[in-house]
Amino acid sequence: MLKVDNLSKKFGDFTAVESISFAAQDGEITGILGPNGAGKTTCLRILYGLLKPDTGSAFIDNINVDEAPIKARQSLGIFPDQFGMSERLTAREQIEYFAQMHGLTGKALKEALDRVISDLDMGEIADRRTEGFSQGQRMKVTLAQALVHQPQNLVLDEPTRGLDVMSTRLLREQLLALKAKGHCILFSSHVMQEVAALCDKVIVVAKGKVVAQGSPQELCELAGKEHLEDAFVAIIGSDEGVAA
Amino acid sequence: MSVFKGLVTKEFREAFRDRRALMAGGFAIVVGPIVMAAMLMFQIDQQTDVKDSYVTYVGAEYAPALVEQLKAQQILPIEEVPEDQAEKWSKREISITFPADFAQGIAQAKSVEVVVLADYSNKNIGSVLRRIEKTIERYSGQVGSMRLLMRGIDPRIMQPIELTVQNSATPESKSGLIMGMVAMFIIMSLFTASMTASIDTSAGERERHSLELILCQPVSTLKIVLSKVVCVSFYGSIASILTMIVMTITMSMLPLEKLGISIVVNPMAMIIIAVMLVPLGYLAGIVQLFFAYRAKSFKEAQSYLSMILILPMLVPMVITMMPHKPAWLNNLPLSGHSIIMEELYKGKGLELMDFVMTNLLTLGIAVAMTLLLAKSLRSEKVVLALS
Repeated sequence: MLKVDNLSKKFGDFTAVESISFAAQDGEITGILGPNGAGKTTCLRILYGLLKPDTGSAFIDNINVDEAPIKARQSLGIFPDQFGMSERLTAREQIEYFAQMHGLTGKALKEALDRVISDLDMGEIADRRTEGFSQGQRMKVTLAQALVHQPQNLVLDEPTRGLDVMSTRLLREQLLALKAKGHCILFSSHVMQEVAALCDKVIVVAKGKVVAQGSPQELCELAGKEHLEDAFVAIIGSDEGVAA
Repeated sequence: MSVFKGLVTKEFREAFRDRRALMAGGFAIVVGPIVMAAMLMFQIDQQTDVKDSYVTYVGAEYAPALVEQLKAQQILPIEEVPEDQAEKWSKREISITFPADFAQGIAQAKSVEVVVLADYSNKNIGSVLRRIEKTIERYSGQVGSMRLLMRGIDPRIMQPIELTVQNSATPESKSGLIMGMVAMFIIMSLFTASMTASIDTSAGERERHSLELILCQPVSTLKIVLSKVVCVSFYGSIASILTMIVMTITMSMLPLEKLGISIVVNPMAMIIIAVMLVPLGYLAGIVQLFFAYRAKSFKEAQSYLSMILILPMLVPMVITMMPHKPAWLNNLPLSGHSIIMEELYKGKGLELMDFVMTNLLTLGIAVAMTLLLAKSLRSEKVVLALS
């Protein structure tokens, strides 16, 4: 379970997030939906323990991230918005590196690698250096890095950006499978269809604040609109920075 | 511990597959010995053989005896110059002019003016000119002594003091500047060899968008910093130990005794230097990482680190040129190391106290910087490269 409580964060005079509170439950996919610059990434960075909030706290499985960041991160898998590759390492070596940071060694490490590589159907590319990988292949490596230690909680930041249909489908299948196993999934997006198709619960963020939250159905009812997109525009009061 | 092993493995894999970094290391190892060898060969060539020199004699027929003495000192008339050197010597334009009344003046015990015309600012002909002057002075002295003898006076009356110079410099101790350069190249290779690797693993990782994700993993920043510094320092230390070995072998093969100097090649000295290069390599690695992490991009980091590179170049050179070294220099990193290296190459013993203090201080600074870097990687500013 992931929870943030009354988070605020300022950079100089700029307020990035202001009094944000929400929770993402186990066995659910929770979406943070908001236009570009709404504070989604800042909020996630606080959750990772990378930024310190000015007020409030973030919790991973009820562990306060600010107080015990290393312990809290042990049950967290992160799929970042940029697919950073170490191009001189093979895909397997790169996944191995992240697995080791989560304490996997020896036989458990090898099994975890084999499992995630077969789950994501990466057998062919696993022992190639990641230099020259396509966006879809990079996505697989990044996802494998996030999942190799089977974290209870998975956070994805704008996961489908720049991906083709096949990669997006693969990602979606993985998320649904994880949800079925009772994992907690939180992902940020500004892509409406993705959110509508996947999420059990949507948190709408605009200008650093939570402006509404509920199931896609509830949001439509709240705004009195038939489609989530219309509801979203009605809720944040503008269509700036939103992709259909 | 196993987590740390995994981190280090990844660093080594990346660094030793990086062709740019390997090239930088290889370059650092060979460039010093090649430059030193070339420079010394040139010096040996210049200083050792007295070569035939060619000058224009004007009025040689008036002073045949003096001209004979000059020719005996390989100061030959320009007419005899071999074809391949003709251009060089005609450009140098050295001329010696004897007046028509030379013989008459000598016979009448007068002073005769002999004119040497040359460009005295040209360093290439300095030794030729000194030889000409010496030969003429000696001839003048001989004639002077003869004149006194003919008048029944002991020529020694002209030499109230006989100066005897006893040079206590040994061939080893004369080699100061050269040893300074040897130390400079060895220490410099620590930095040049590991520079690319250290930038790649810090600013490069940030540029590849990997850094942020790594810092979100359940590993302390201290472990991450240590894994990187182990790898970078290994790179630097190995390269500089190899430089030291190649350098020592090169120097021992050159005929340095012709320059009146010698270098001591003993295995014990080499081992001591190698041992000393490890803590210095650690310091070089952490300093480079420390500043590279402050850069937003590979390029920015490169410009920071090339500024740092000036230190290992300057410090050893300044140390050798300093006439009086304050004692505290013996124990500072870089300066202490280059002093110890110089002494060892000169064949002097090792000052154990200085060796221990220098390396302890080096380690102390390196550890402090490691902790500081680990701490700064927990700060938002450094993580997101906000300035």
